[in-house]
Amino acid sequence: MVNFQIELAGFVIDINVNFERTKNDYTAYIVEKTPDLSLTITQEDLLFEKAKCIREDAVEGRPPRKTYGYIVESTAVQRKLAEFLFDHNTIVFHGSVVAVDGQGYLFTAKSGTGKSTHTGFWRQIFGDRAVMVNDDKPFLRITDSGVLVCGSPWNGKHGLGNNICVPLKAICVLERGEENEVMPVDGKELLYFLLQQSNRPLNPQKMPKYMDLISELSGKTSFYRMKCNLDPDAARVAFEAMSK
Amino acid sequence: MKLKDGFILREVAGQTVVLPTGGDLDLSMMITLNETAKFLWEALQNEIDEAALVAALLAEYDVDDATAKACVADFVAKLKENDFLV
Repeated sequence: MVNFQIELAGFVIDINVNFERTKNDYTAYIVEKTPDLSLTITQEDLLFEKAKCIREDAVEGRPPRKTYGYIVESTAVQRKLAEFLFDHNTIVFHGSVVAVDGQGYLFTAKSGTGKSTHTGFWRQIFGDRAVMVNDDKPFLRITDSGVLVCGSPWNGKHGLGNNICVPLKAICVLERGEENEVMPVDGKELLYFLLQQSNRPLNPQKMPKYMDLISELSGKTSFYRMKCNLDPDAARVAFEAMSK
Repeated sequence: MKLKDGFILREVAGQTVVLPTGGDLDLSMMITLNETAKFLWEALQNEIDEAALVAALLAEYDVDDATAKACVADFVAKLKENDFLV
């Protein structure tokens, strides 16, 4: 067994895995502190994950993925971490997050819309005031006093992100448009996008808690929809509307 | 009649949402309820007949008899159609 501790979304987690390479995925997150939680990847977890990959590929009709040890373990750790953190009111959300002046702005969209390009404009416009939190799958930690957005080791193909937690200021759905325009989102539209862009628990018994967390999130954050073009000025327009 | 087990009702973003708790969540299985539908949904947690639903609706809302009857009949038909009732 390979043992290490990481700090994620403010929790210190003790991890036991079978492959040294799995530890390498978490290099930026390794700490030496007293753990709050412990997680072990067993042979059963590996078999479960492998069977799930094979089943999903068959259902989707795609060529089978590679399912050897390290690859399967990497997915297994990701799933178990998400489950552990879910039990501590923390969910995985899909999007690119940039912090400006210490507050997080999360952009979500269909793949290929240009989330990462847009948060890139924020870094360009705001310079040192802007810090990337995560570029693909940040954590949202829902607390009584508000929502924190936190970095995760799953930060997209450019590896942009930091192991930090900042208060979440707003979430915005991006669409391409000719002109930059920001509108508030609520009601059914907001409900659907929250359910589509957050990771739902596999265990049906956890659904009530998931809905409670989504409900809390919807009441504690501001939500927008933005039509944006590929001019860096889009970042300034977005910030002006969302930082109010 | 009454509602089957295995549904949860929550308020999200000002919407009343009902989701099944069994198996993988398919968003097409999600329904949203308006205020009256939510009222009837809650009444249907326990065994109740259509006449009692109409009476409950009349007691809660300022509607006439015919409207209440039509409303209940319509909602119950939809629930039956989607196999929500036992």
